[in-house]
Amino acid sequence: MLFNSLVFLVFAAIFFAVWPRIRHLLVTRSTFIVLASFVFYGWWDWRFLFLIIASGLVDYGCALGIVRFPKAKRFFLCLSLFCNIGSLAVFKYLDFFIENLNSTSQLLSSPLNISATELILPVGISFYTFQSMSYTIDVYKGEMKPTRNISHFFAYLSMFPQLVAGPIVRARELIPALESKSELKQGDLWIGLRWIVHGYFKKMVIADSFAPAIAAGFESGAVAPSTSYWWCLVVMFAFQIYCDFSGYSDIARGLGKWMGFDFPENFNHPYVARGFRDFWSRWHISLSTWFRDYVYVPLGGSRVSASKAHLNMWVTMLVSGLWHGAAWTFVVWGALHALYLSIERQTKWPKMLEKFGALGNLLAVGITFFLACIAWVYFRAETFSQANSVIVQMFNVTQLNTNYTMQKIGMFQFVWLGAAIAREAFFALGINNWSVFTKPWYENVRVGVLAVVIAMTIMFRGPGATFVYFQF
Amino acid sequence: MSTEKKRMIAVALLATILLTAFAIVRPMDRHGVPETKFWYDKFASPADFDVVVAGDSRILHGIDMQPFSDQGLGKGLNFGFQGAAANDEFVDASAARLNDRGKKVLVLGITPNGFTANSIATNGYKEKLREYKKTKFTLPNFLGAIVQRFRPLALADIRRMASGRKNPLQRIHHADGWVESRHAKPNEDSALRFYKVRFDGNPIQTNEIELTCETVKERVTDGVKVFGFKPPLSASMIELENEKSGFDYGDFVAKFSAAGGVWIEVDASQFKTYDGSHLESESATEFSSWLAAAIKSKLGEAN
Repeated sequence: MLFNSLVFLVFAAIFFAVWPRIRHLLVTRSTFIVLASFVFYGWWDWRFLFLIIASGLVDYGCALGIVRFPKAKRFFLCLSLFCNIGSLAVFKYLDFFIENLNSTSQLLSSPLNISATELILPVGISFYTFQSMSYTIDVYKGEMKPTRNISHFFAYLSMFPQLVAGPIVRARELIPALESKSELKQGDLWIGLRWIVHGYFKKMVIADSFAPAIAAGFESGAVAPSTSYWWCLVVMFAFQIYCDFSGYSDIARGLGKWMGFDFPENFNHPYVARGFRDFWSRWHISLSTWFRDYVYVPLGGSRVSASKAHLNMWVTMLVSGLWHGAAWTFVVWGALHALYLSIERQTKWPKMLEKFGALGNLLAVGITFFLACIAWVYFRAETFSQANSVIVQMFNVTQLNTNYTMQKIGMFQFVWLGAAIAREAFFALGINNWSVFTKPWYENVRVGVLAVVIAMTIMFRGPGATFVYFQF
Repeated sequence: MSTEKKRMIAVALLATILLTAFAIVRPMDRHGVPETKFWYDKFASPADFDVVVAGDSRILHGIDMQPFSDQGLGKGLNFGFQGAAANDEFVDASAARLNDRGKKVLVLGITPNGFTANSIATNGYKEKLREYKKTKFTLPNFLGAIVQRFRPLALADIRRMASGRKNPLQRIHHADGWVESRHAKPNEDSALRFYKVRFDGNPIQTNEIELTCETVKERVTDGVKVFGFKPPLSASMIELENEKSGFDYGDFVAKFSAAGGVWIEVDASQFKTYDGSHLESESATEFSSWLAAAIKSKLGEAN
């Protein structure tokens, strides 16, 4: 079920009509969350519910086993990791592995020609397996006690607002909330509504308006001979993926708030980051902290020699790239970010620019955005060679070809791109901190603003549909 | 009631008022069958037609099916879609609408754009199909007409709302799949701007032409009479496409004919377009009558 579908609006209306009546009954509400979440997920393909249930049962059992049989706790952890990574490997990476095996065998002049399995990638598998894994790891590390109530566990694992595209919520934060009576605080409904409305606007107006132009540019296979076009398209993609994904996260957080749960902030204006360390503290925060806690730190993090710390960071970023998709283009995307981070660690260039005051900071934002865009090309391109050709075209100053750009990209898309950039500037310049926005009367102005945003979301919605991050 | 609940109700009320106002003052340029029903019927149409004319927007806007039944060719369907690729999948989907009882006539409007890399990749037919699969339900006519008022606004709509002018291009959706287009200020050069860059970095996919002809051959073997034609365009558009598209009609016709298809030569000079690319209402009906007569005559020759 997509957040931006009529059926979801009906589903949400029914859910939130029932919710206030059962929210104080702990087991009943967890069971209700599980049932609702299964309907939400099963609407896409009910067969894959068995995968979530199987994955959940293994982790629920393993966590209890870790506590009950401390001597075998390593076994239970390995079993949990094996099952979670195994299901990811089969559904997400098997064909990639086969493809590479075939290519390598061809190079070695003994072609294998193994057929691809062409399995359907279960929506959100990377999100819920990571969420599930973090539970057993935390129990193994003694950072939390396992829950004995299976309905609480499955409510944590399958909670529909964040099931298929995050934010990845840690068990040690959500399970205690599920086990206690969480009261709605004054203002929660209002904040939730604001997040939801802005989330829908980002997704349906900005991201969806960019989607057809970006698809036409990248999916034709050929690289259009216009430098200005590719720059526009790549910047549009930077905002498409940001607005699409952060829009989803905002809606998820808003729905969570309405239920009385706090999901972590997932995006904090990443395009105003000054450097890549800053960028990764603002982009997909729940995933980057997951990788930090469960990959980077266990590898030794930065409490080792400088070269080993670099290596740890590279491994983390490459795994993060591969998490996004089973293709070399994603690995290159991860590698580019690792390279940016390595250079930043060595040169500390954002700190150097800071000395030049506001201009230096602005330059740091510009450099970070520029380099992030270069990396996005690999993230979006259909093939590695297409990405390289696009990069070459982006720097081909002899073929600006602005006429082509004006033909291919509509005026409305420029308008929304301007709006998206202005929105980031609003936060970059700290306008959001002006005292006017904290005055009590401004909440009444917000009523008008939200109503206008809702009307605009409906009247200016773009033709895109599904969420980009569903494929991960 | 708490303040925040009051605020939320105020937001809902204000948004409803704004949306209603938008819906009332927005310029309407769609008439006839509501679009939700129009597209639903096009996709949900069973294998119940004697003649199907398929292609991209030039077919969607340019072929009136009434003359086909007037000429005794039976029940017809316009299976045109904006940006449709002329690939094998589309030919098969079009042929699937033909019934076994009638003459089984499939008519393909062939345009260079239908074979470009971009059209093959984005394929307007598949895009619409995805939309249809997502909703898969139609709305009663009165609801469809209301929904139509909440279609996304384009920049041009806003300009018109500000100036109070009507859209010079009025579209009438017909139950047989035709979108009749009436333009108050036709300009045969207006689409040139788009086509001047359409083929840049967007080459013709020759392998797709082969696949399409292969499919034509299969359908002919199944007993379908497959016809092909080049939709009428303005002289300057013909010149532009010949120069820039890289599509060789002569080569295509040879392959199409070898596959068992029957090519119909069209004298484009007799028909008027409103933008150089799409036939205006009256010309669409005239051209459809001419095409139906030509097909009838070819079918007569074959018998």
